[in-house]
Amino acid sequence: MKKDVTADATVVLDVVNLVVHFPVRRGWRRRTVVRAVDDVSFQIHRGEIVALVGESGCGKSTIAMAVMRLLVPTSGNIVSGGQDLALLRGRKLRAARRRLQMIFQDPFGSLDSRQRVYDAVAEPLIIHRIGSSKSERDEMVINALDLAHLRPPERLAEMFPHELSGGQRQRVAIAAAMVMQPDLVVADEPVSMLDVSARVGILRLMMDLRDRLGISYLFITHDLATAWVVADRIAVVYLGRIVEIGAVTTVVGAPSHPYTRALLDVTDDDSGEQSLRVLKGETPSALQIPSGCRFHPRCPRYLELGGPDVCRTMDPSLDAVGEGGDDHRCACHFAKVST
Amino acid sequence: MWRGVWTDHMGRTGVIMLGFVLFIILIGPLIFPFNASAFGSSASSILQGPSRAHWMGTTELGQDVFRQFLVGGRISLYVGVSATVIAILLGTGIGLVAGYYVGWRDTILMRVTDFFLVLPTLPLIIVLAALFGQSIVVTSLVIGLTSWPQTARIIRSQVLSLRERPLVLRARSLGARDVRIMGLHILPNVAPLIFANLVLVLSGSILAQAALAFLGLGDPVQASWGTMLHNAFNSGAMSEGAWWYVLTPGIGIVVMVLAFSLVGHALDRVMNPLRRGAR
Amino acid sequence: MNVLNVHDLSVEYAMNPGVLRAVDHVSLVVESGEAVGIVGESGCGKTSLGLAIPLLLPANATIASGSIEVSGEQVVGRSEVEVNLLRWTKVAFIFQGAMNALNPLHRVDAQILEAISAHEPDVPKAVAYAKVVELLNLVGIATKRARSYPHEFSGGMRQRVMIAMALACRPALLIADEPTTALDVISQAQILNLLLELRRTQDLSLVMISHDLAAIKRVCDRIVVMYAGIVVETGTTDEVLGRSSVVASPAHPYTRALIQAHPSLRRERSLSEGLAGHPPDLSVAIQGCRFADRCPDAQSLCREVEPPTITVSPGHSATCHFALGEAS
Repeated sequence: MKKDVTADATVVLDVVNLVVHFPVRRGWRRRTVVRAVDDVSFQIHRGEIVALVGESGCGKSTIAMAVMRLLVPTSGNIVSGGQDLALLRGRKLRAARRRLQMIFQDPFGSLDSRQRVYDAVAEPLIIHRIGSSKSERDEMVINALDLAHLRPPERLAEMFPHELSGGQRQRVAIAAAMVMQPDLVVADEPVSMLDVSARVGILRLMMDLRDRLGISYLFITHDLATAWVVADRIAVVYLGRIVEIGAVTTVVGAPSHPYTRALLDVTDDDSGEQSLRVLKGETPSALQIPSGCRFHPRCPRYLELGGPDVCRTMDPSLDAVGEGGDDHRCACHFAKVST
Repeated sequence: MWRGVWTDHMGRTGVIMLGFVLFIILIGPLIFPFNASAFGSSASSILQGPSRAHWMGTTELGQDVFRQFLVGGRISLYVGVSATVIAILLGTGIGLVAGYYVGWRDTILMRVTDFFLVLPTLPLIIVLAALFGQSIVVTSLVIGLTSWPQTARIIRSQVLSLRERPLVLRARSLGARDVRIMGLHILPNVAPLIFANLVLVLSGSILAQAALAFLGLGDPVQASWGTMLHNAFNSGAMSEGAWWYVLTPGIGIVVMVLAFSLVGHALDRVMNPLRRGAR
Repeated sequence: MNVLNVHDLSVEYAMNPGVLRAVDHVSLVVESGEAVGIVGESGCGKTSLGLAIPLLLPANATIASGSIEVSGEQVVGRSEVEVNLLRWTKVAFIFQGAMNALNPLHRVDAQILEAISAHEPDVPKAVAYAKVVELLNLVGIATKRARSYPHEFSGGMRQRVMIAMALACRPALLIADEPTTALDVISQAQILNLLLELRRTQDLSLVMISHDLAAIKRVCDRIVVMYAGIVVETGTTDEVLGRSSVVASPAHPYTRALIQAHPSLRRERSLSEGLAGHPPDLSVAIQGCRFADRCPDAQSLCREVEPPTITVSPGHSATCHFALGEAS
């Protein structure tokens, strides 16, 4: 389906039917596929923070890598700034990268330990040949460092990553992302490797920058509580599919999908009872995705309803649910808004 | 880095030995005025033992062994360095490209590497010497061409692990070209490993050159230590009891190779994060 | 008799030059059947404290002072052989990331069997194997999966194997260092439920070291908050962290900041102020309160005088000049 590329100007990212399959060789001749991302669609509007929430291996990081074109998607459209990133190559792709920046999970591994902070932040400027003179670039770098609350910026610009704390390094990563004045920042678990007390500062900074500069975020996290305080909309991902998507207050307050419900149960730190109501079993491997609805083997609703055939045979589509209109959608044959 | 080498016992020994050897062969000829090729004036000056006039005795042609030793050392070093430069440049270049790009480029480059890995040095130099004559250029070339695969493999495996690091992903996400990533991000992080490997390749090259020269495949005009040994054997120095003729270049080779090896191994231990833990 | 009695313990690491005091005069008591959570951020000393108890500290660490009593037996100063008798039988330790410490070449049942044989060599193999199966069932792994290799298990299941291994010789005390950190949220919840159940059915005392307040709240009766090598607050989890019926009343500013920093689904969608800066450098002597630099309520007194440990209520104390609301 060819997406109309001239659509809504407030949409910063429009992912349509994204599929990422990795071919894998199992044994001598058998070739199968890891269906890491299996038909995912969502939009991000200007100034919006959309969180992709799910457990490790669910495909959320793969979605981030696909959006940033760090890998080539198997099929689907990734429309941003009037272009389909999935189709771009070479110079055009490089030019498109100006508007998309990424922040990685590992503050220790994502900065080159041999580069000073200045070099790390100036690198995108140099790559894209922005700034006609060194002093102009200097100014942009200092501004970016200041924006990220790395003060005094002149002194910090001369330091090396190993002289900084984890929180400071992430701020450098944020400064480097901001220096290009992007439309969208993809943040892949930006705080999960930081100490708890450092997390707040980073999250706050990210939200401040959104408020001031109108930057949108695709925020990847496994922690529902973090998404709760940061995101405007949440998409819950399970085994390569979005199973529920909607405004954060709706999804957390009145979840429709049993998996969302399960995540909420374990994240809620004060449910009153000591023992948690927990899903049984483990998430299956992406090599052997269950037939029909991929969640049915673990789904409490499936058991409650006596194991209906449709869950085993038909893959539910992400349909609107509740009174939110198209805003709140859930992929379940028996979707209902819980209280 | 150097402090690490110094604290390591073997490394310290190696550095001291190296300093001594390099001093002798680089500065030596300037200090000691003996003329290496001057032939002896009479038959009585042939194969003389060490004396006031000739510190290390004379050769079968009445030449001063010590002076030859000083000059010969330079040749050995020169060939060693040239061969190492060839090996490191080729090895690093191929290792870098193979490790970074993976896929078909990697496969092809690795098969080429395997080919050169199994090339036997001796027959190759005999053939090339027959074609192009014996010279230090040919020797350097051969040793370099047969040494680079080892470097390539080491560099490649390091690059393979580096390319998965978030910092490379980040550079790619910024839109950096491959050449920039390889040159700016990967190469500097591989540099310590290259350096450690370089020293080891150097010691191996010197030994290889000495061996080839000993077998008579070296440059006859530019007499290296190996050539000295070659001449010594041919003139029957051993049976004559002219130990000074054999021992001088022999010990020279051993000391120089050992010195580089010790330094190289100490460097490797300092650089290689995997082996650091074993200390 | 208390299952664990740590008194005035100090652990130092040899740096080049000087030493770094990672644990500074810490005392800790665990009663029989109790679960104590030690919480703090990286570098606070909680792991060093945990490792010190079964004397599993790395080679460059020494116990500078204090005593450690496990089930009444003194540990400090004993020989390696003597302490080895205590390990696994009286106190078991689950390392951080232990799930990755399983030998990939051996089946899971063989590895647990090895642990049993090492400490109880006289037990006949058949009996020991029966015990292995019993332990695996105890942690929720079906008998038919006993002969699997570690890589055939997920992270959560491997952690269960580690727990089973730790319980092999029925220790009175289990020390778990970040038992749920590398796991998915659902697996984390499963492991926490397991720990709760084991406490109940096996009469097990537990020391859980974690940076995750929610996990400690779930499992532990008491909480010990560490910062920069010292204990800054200790009390029941109900009192310090609160529960649905009890309001949280942390007495130390750091504890308050930690609680605030954990976003909660129950609270409003807002971020707390957060803590600027980072923990002090422990290789340098610190004057006054260690937390003064980052404390929002710091006064000049805090930077000059080391704060005393003040009892806020029975069983609840905090190391702060203003623990009771005003300087004492």
